[in-house]
Amino acid sequence: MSNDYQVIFSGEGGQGLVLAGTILAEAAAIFEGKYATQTVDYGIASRGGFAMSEVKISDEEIDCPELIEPDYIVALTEDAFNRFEKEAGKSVIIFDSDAFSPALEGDNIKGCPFTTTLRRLAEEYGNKARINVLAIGAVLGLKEIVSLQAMRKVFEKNFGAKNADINMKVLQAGIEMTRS
Amino acid sequence: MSSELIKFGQGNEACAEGAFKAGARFYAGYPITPSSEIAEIASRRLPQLGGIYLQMEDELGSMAAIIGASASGVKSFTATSGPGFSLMQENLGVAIIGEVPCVVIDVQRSGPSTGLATKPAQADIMQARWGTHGDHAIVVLYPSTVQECFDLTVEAFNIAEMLRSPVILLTDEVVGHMREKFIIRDQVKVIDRKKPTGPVEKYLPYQPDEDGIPPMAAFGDKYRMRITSSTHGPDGFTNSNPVNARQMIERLYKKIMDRADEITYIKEYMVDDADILIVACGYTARVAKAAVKQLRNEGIKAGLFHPLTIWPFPEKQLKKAALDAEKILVPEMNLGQLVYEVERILKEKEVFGLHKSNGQPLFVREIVDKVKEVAK
Repeated sequence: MSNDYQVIFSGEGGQGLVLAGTILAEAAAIFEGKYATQTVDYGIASRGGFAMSEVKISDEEIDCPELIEPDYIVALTEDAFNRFEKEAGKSVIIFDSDAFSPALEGDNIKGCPFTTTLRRLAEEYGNKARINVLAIGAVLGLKEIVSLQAMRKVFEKNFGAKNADINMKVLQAGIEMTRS
Repeated sequence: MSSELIKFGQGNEACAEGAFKAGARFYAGYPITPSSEIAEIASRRLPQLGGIYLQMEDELGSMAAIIGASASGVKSFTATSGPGFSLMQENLGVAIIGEVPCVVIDVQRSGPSTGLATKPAQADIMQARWGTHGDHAIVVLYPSTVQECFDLTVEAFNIAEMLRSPVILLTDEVVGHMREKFIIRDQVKVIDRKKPTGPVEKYLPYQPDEDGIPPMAAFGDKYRMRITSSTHGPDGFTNSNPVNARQMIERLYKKIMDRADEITYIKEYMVDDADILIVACGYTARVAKAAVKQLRNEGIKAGLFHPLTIWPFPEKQLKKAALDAEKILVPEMNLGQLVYEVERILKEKEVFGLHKSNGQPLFVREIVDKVKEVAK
């Protein structure tokens, strides 16, 4: 089961976290030939309110998409962080250290400057730099659970070759946030 | 060369693609979460396929429109969720008595009423069976994976065409919104309705062949077609004769019930030596399968009976699967619906329910814990 991965992208509606999960899972399923599932949980608001997507990647067929012990949890809002802080013993939690400062600390809790990094990227790429791609990068910086080649292909398929270049740069910035 | 297409997409997307592959070329609907993607895809794809997408004023109109389109010879469907499904019930009865093939997809969300629009439930299981009034039988298929969404939507159209009857494809918010890899199969078996062949003046739109199913002319054909929501004779005119009424009502019922085996799809997992048999459908069946694996690892002999056809309920198949099981557990995202059908079928067994109705799916540990509790 060592090649099984479970990832949660959480934050608020409008941050593109459903898309983050879709893109990561699609990269694994279509461009790496693995099995992957993605499920969502969000409210009725198109912006704001808690939103998340869950991704499971496996070499074997997946019985149930429910995540039992997530490996990585990205929490972009304090609300999202609070919902998952009890998982800190088992999961690595990555949060936006520009947005809030959680009381909880530990080796498995990693603050990353999402907001300021995104602002810097936006100066160069405008609104094509998205926090959801940064979030995928932050996970890949800890462990390359999906190859960068597969990520490029999934960007090209969904957003076109030109935008794939920008997305790969944003992804790389996310990777650098967490790579030690 | 195979033109099979592997996609990574939602259950809703697979339902839409399955419908197109089965030959559906007309969609009328009123978009509603969590089914809206089906309308969205139909609006984009149907015009490309030479079909028609109609945005309706409400679900009463949606159901009426697909009946009309099908009566003119075009395979038709709609998609909705609980609140819209309620509004479709009256005209669903028209499709049943008028013997108009069509497919209604209900992506279940948490109710009652508007409820929790983006959250899952399985609380329309009985509405799908008994939502429209009067004596009737109905076919309801319920997928649990994205691939099954594709395959069972194709099958729903085939059954509808074969039986001259509406078919319900029931899913839930988790299955509808979940993304997985699925194959848009190149070659699928497609069944088309029987057409009349004899002399025009002798055609009776409700005179069954030996198989109990009348050939169906389309409006605009040279044959004279009539549809009425009233009890009618073989000619399609209102008829209040009790002998005729009985024949009509029973034939509509029997044309489905007599073919139950032919339209029954089930999946079983480790049922042969199971002491405790879990009966679950839709997304809950996937949670239950993971629970069975975990329980087996802990030495508890659990098994899973997973009906994909939930109405007519696979009675014979369940009895066989449950033969040696001492206890039965029915987990479902509602306060108790399928459990009553299982109790009816397995009167001599101890049947337990596990019910959750809070907008969340059941979790693996909840089923595992319940099995351990009832296994004592």
